[in-house]
Amino acid sequence: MTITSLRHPFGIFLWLMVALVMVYILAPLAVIVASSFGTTGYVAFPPQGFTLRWYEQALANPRYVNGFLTSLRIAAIVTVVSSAIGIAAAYALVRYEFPGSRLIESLFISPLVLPGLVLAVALTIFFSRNPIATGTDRLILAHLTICVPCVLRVVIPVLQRFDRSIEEAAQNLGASPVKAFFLVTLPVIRPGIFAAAALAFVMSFDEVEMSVFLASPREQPLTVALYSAVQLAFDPTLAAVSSILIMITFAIMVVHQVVSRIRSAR
Amino acid sequence: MNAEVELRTVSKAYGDAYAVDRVSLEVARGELVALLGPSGCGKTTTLRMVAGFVEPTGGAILLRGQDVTRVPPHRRDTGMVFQSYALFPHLTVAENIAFGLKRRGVARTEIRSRVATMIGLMRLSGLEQRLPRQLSGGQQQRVAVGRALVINPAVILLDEPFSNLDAQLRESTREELRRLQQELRLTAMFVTHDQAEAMAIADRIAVMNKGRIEQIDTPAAVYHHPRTRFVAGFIGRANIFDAEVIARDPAGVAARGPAGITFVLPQGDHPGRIAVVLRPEAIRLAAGTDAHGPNTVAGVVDVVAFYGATAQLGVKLADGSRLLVEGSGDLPQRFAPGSAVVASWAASALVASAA
Amino acid sequence: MGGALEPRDRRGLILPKWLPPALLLLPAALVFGGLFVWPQLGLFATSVASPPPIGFATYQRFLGDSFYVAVLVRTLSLGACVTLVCLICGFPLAFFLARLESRWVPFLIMIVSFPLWVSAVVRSFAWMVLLLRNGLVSIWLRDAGLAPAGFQLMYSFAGIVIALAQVLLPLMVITLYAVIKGIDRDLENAAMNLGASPGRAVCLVTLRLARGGIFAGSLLVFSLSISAFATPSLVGGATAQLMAVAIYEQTLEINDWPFAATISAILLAIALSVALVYGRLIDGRNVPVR
Repeated sequence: MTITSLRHPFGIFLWLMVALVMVYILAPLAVIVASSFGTTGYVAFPPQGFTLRWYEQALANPRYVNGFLTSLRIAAIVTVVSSAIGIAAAYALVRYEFPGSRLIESLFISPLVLPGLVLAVALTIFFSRNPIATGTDRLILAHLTICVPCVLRVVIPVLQRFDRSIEEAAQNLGASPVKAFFLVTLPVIRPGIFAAAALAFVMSFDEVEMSVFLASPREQPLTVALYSAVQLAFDPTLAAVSSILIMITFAIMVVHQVVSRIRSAR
Repeated sequence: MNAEVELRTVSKAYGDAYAVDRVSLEVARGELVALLGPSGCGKTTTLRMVAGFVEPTGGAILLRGQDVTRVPPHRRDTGMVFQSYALFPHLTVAENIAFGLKRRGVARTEIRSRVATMIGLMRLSGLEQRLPRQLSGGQQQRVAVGRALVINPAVILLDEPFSNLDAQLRESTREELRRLQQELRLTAMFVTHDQAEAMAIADRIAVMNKGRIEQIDTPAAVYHHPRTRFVAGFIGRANIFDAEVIARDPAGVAARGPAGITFVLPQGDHPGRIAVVLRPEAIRLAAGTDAHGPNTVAGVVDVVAFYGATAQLGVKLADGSRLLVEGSGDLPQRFAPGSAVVASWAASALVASAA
Repeated sequence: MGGALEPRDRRGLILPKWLPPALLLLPAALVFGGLFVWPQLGLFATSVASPPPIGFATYQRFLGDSFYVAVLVRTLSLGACVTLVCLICGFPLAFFLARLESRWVPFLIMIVSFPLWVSAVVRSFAWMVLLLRNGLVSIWLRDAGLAPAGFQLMYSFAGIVIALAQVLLPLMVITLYAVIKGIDRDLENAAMNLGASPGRAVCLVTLRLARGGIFAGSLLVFSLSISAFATPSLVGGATAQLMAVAIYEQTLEINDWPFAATISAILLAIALSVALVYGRLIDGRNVPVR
């Protein structure tokens, strides 16, 4: 009898709690997806009837479509730049031990635990005084402040687990240090780098506070478009847009799970 | 029937795979039974089923005659010593040992005296207020044993209790545990993958392989009369030959093995194909090239290993197979590598097991 | 010194030992210094510049105004409530996932952490639908007789707690899962073997040993819930009396940047002190992302 077995009261309590909490975590998303297919003119649950009308309207609305494209573009640039910066810094912090490297690591990661809204206000003041960037570039720079720490957070433990002797073996076999990094280290830590990049992408794509403050009015990211629309009305097209985002995310996660299972099964 | 523990065709299946397959076993009062086998043979799962951490998918487990198959662990009367010891890291030595007594609602004064007795018995005096991480490996092991013993369980369950100790400590701890077990007449089940350990302290050994008990017997019987090829190979060193029975008569059974060997075994009810087990120490060597008659074979010494009091020789036979011979320490002087030898053995040294 | 990049290139040119790591760290240092530290200092400077050049009028205004003190207190109690809900809901789930012997565990963890990958705006929108007057949760509460007619959870403190706790719950679960996974399950087995019922075994052993992790997870959730903006401002409405919403109001609506900077600095100071305690408790590397 394991502790999670249903044969004793504690086990029953545990399963009950787990079921309730799972519903609590997942139900809101399920409700949105379900209600996006309803025929009523407002968002309602349980949904009545079935229609794809709201999806048609959502996809015909340039605010959402352009927002989606803008968000994609920003997130892609932020992902590439923050991955490059983060991996270089993580490599330096793990491979070269120097006094204060642990302190630098904690400092570099600290923006993650601070209020995004405060970062946004500070950056708004900063950009108004130092016009070093304009339009969407300001938002990209802003996202770097949270995405670089995020990459560091994921890549540093991966590099620490990496067996250095593999790299040394490559150098022993005649690869230059730089070549050894690209030929051996990088392929081995690739899953960790993918995870870091994926996280950076999602962080940038979903980010709200900085986007609200810094986005250029002509190029609004999707979260900003959604944020202002949600405040104003309970339009069923909003449910459709939200559902599209939920379903894309879910599909990506499922594919990722399946792929990594197939890989580990081999 | 005074079995303290009884397993009746107990099985544990994970999907289609059987971790434990119809294991039956009885442990008498005051007896120490070792579950011996390679990793993954189901011995730990069997022990955990007795403790109640794993629920059997078939069969029944009885403790002192009571069916406890569906009884949760905390209502069973077993004392387990975990491989990792599982000492509560936030509790002192004394609190660890008192834990089970407190759960049983024993009066505070009695707890104090029983814990003190156990601390004396386990030679832990002076360490009562230490935390587990402040103890040496041997001390931690004694706390784990004391914590299980103090509740006077029907059976003590030991899961590889010596595996985290270094070689020297392992031997002395083993002897100490055996002495304690015999003095207190404890009923115990003990899981190990180390056949020497099992031989040294168990009253009986249950040899397990692939979820089944292959043989359960005293250490001597398991060694001298292995019932299966697996048991013969797992317990001690053995030469094992596939052989075919060619003749039977009242005097014995003749079987033909590899390299032209004819085995003559004592009378027995053997099937057509058998595995003949020959212990290395039962083989005599003589210089020469001609082997005549049954229970002899000619070969060439190819490897010599000297261990001081004893030595081992590898003899290469005509068909390329090898015979392991063990004898006194002067063997290497008498037979250098490359010398031709004739090996012979008594019929009584041969054991036939299932092929 | 474990220099993987040897301080000497192919042509035998000698590079100073500190140069390769310094070059590798430079971009990250620029981002950290230029886009994080410098703007934060600017924010602080703005907050202490009224009246110029140096003055604390905005701080006096904040602390002297009972409205804003109430906002601060409400924000802190929101953090406490959300943390409590996350703990009560998160521990059983994390314990269950850490102890379940099943190949479905990775899948279940994926399901639990799934909401983290969905924008907070979308998740808040879902709660708005449920908490509004004609939303499912509000209707249930009225039908169960727990709430008066016309009652809605939307725009209420309880509504914000319910929504925000759901947003942050996966983080608590992931933190606690790692902590509980690190506790040898044989310790619970040992406790049960010695006569403790499963529930008592968890209380006497697991909960005690997970204390550090529980505290760390609580601080994380607390810090994120007092800083949260999207969920409180959507579920609580633009007039929700919370620090983050007040900052937003002062900037984009009232355009009083010095005062906004002051509220921000106060919020930052609280979050920073929580983060410092957290950092002492737990290695910075164990901070779950988001």
